Amino acid sequence: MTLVTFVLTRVLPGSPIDQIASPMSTPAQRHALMVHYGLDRPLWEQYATYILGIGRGDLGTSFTTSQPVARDLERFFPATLELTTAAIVIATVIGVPLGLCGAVRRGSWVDHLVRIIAVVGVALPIFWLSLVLIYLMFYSWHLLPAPIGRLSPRITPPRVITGLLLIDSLLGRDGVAFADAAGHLLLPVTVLAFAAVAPLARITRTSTLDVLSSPHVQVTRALGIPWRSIVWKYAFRNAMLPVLTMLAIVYGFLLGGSVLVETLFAWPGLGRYAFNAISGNDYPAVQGFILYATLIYIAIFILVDVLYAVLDPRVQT
Amino acid sequence: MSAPRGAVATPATLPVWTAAADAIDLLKRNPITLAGAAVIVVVALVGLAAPAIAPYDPLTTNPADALRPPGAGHLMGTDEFGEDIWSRVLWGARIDLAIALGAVVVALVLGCVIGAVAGFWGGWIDEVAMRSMDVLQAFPSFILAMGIAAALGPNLRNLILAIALINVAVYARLMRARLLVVKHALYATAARGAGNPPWRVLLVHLMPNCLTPIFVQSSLQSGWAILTAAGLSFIGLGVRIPEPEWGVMVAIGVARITVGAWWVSFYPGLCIALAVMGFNLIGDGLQDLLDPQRR
Repeated sequence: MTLVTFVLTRVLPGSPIDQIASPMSTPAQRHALMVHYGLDRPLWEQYATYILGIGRGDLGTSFTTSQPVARDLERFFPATLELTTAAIVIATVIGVPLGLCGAVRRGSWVDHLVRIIAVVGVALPIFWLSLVLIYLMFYSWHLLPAPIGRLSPRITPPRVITGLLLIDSLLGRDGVAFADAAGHLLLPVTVLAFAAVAPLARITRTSTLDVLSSPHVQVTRALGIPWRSIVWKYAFRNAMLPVLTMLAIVYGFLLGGSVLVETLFAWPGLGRYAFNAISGNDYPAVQGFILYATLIYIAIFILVDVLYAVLDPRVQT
Repeated sequence: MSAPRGAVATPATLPVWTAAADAIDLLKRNPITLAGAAVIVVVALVGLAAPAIAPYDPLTTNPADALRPPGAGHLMGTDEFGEDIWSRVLWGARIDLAIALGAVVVALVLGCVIGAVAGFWGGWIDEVAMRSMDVLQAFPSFILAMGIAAALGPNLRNLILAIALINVAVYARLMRARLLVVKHALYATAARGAGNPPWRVLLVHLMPNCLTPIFVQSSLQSGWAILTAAGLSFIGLGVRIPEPEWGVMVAIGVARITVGAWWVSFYPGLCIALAVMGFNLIGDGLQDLLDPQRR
């Protein structure tokens, strides 16, 4: 995996030296910079150095911010974490009950709504939806603050405890900062959550339908157990298993989507950092971002596996 | 579709024909799938006819006509360079469909070959191929596409390649899974017994019988391809300004949205949504067709 990210970034066209060195610098100065960043060494040696560095938690130094990439990523991570987590929580709270209702009352208006959301939600480009909402909420109706960053400039940021503004402002009992942070979060989170609701509602509906038609549920029906307790006691837990996997997949999708959304909302998170790094040929930063995002993605899959074992005793060995 | 059916008749033609007949049957009974198909047919026709029906050249700038709202003369208004958005939207159908088609075909061919070889020969080839696919799928797909597109350099061909590469694993897995089932079918043994070399058994007798689920997948993937292409172009990693690609056109409108020029981004984005919806509806319909339980 590190090899993939490494090769990907090294074949990037353009040299990072062009970004660091001033246009006036002499070839000798440029060479000195190449030596400083180790770019004059053979590729395999650069890779070996990189891998050894990762072992020590060192992802190299960003060419553009001149900071260790690991520290940059750490600094930008809370903003993205807040955004994507809020989105996935909202999407789950809306999507799972919707899918459940759709499956339980198959053919009802809820069911049709779920089907429409499933089709529309995955088709709308999130960057376009962001723009439409910015236009309506900010330009036309003046309902929300300008789509720039996490807080308005006139608000004093709360003391950093978790890095998540909503939680920090709550802990600091700062109502003004909380409201402002929530206002800034609202649009980007809505956009991401909207995109995430569709696959979640859809998988919940399908898997609940599957479980409801499975033999063990058929038996409970034949035994005359009330429909309500069949759904909650016998079907719900089994139906949630595929939903868990989908949650992990959707989280990966949100990490990708955050690049688009953060760029649009000038959100100081990982996505915008990656966007800037790509535009600036900043190898270590791009590598670091891809690696970081993938590690988060894998960590979430591991978490899901653990939850699986909790929900489904058969998985335990 | 299933192995026994293929075993009776000539395996190379039957599944395709039944699939076609089934598809027509499905369209008759399923108006939503029909609507999806209609959207894609319209987009395809528009894309083909764009040079003839677009009222303006998509790349001709006209500063005097910049940022005109939709109205007479400019059906969807003009962007900040004075380019006619309606004409660009029509040309966009051509570019975006070409990207979707290209990306799906490349991914399908690569994936099928990898999956077929892995499933047919098994052993260490299978291990290596499938573990590589695991690695590809360990990345969040849009982020991997970003990395590949950035590495190759932003242009149309590389965009198609990047989108194709992130989807190879899907086809490889489908092909391998089907092949493992089909490999031991009676007709495969018969073909081997008749003295066909292994590559011929694979190519002529086995692979055609594995294609049906792959076609369904490719319809769904076409929608994804358009979304990913537009997203990558939007952040400058795909087709570049001023090309009339829908994602690029949305990007052009970003700076103007806060001064009220909504039309620059709105119409191209709407087209992306419609095209993606079209492909997804077709894919859903085909999936229902293949999986009788879901009907």
